[in-house]
Amino acid sequence: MGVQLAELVNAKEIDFQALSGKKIAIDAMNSLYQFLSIIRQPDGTPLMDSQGRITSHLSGLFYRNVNLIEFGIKPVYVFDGKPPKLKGAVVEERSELRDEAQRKWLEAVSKGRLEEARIFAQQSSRFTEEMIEDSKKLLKYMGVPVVQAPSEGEAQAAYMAAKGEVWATGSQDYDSLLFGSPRLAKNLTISGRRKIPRKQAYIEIKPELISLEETLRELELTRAQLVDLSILIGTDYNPKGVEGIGPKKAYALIKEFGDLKTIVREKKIDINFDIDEIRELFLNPEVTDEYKINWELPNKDKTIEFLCTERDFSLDRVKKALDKLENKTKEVKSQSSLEKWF
Amino acid sequence: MFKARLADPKILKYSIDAVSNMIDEAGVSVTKDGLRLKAMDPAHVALVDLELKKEAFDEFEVEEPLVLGIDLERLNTILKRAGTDQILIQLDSENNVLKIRFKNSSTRTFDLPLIEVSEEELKVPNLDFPSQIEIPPKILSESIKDAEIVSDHVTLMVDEENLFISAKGDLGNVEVKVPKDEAKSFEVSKSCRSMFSLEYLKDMIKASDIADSVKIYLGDNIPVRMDFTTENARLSFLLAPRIESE
Repeated sequence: MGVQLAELVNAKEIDFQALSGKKIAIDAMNSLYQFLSIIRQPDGTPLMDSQGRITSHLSGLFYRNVNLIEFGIKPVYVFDGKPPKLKGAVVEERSELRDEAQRKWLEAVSKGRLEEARIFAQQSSRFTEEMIEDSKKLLKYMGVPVVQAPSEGEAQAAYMAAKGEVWATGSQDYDSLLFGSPRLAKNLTISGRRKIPRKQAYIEIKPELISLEETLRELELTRAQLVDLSILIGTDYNPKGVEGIGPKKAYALIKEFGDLKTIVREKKIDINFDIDEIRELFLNPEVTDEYKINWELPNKDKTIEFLCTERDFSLDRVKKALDKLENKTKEVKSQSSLEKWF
Repeated sequence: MFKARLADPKILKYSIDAVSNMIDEAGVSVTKDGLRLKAMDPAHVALVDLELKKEAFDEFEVEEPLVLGIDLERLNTILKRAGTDQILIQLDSENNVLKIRFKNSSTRTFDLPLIEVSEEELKVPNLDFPSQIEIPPKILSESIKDAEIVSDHVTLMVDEENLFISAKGDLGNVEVKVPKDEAKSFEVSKSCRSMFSLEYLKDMIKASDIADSVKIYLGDNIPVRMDFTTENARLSFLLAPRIESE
């Protein structure tokens, strides 16, 4: 979900080549949800192994990352830790929405309405602890670094980007900008041809880059004001925001009054959330310095055992992708850094 | 206050083109002596040191030293539009933009917004190079382009008699031999070799078109330093080697 800033933010389309050599901290859960919702059969059933275990996320993680790495991109996956207390409401609401979607999906399938089934199936995507552990395991076998965030993955990714340890954050949500990431790369793991729901038409999705500094300059706002604006629209910590206020109105209000507390006072708005608490979550989130980001050569045997033997992936395709991954990683690892001579 | 004028835009265009691909943004120091840009690429593989002396400009005025935070990619895109027009650069500190003006029969003005850059002093590795060879830049740039046909990396090697620039690929090999006599200067205390990524070198050799000479400082599996120089400008690169594994 995240905050809906698309209308206000200027995203620049870029080529994958422009990201070559760049380290990018990807919000793992965000990316896994994309895989789970997109990588499905025509009637909406996710990919599964012979035991009925879902493998859509593993397929996405594996093939998409091999693609990214072949372009010279160095992905780091940042996993969520314990969600902040305030997120409880959203988590619960999403869970109810997914239950509802699950019910509608099964109904549509039983009535043979495939197009509808696929849409509801996508909305019903949910993750189990086992699927998350499987994802970490696969990344480890592939030699892709995994970072465990103490709380929000997106906040940890933004922290690493702000420190300059990675070049950008990667997510479909805008929240990492609020957390202070200087650059946000969108569509990294979902680029390519996509079908438009309910239409016989396709669009080409390309990666996009959003600069925090440019965004703030164009809007003539500070980051704190962008956070205030987002709280008005609604964030993961106050999903409903303020009733009747969308991005444009929120922007106009911030420009007129400067900050959220003044708006609430001047406009006599009733709010049912604590402004300071939410501001704090975005401006000073819980993050850690305890992580290592090293790209290693893939463990080919373990990857094949896991994907092909246990999860029924095609041996031929996995082997080919692993060869590509190994060659590129070798090449990247052989490049030394000047730091060795400081 | 800062303003500068270049009747021939070439030197600025080519030097920014050579660095903007590896360095996204940098602080450019402006002093009464000229412009200086020192920065490292995000992967810490290459270090750039660009010096444009005030004599390289037809006019150069600055009141007190300042640092301009520049988005180099954007500056490069703008400079690519210069053609052969005269360039005027002026700082508009009120709006925090650099005004870049191309003057010919019409006047085109671009506003380049300045950005914030950290003003941390850049560390520079301390290296002893056993070999220093100065050659015409064209020889280097042509050899790099030759190597690109077969591989993504290149080996630089010297012995007492020659400089060798060679590349090995799946589809074939190439070797360029530059004898001592063709070099402007040739000081080799021992034979040595290092391997480098062409991804960086192919950007660096863009400086060849404006330089009179390039001096290559080489050792065994250590970074290479390349100084492209002309009378009023110097573009110096330090590039970390690729280490052959296994």
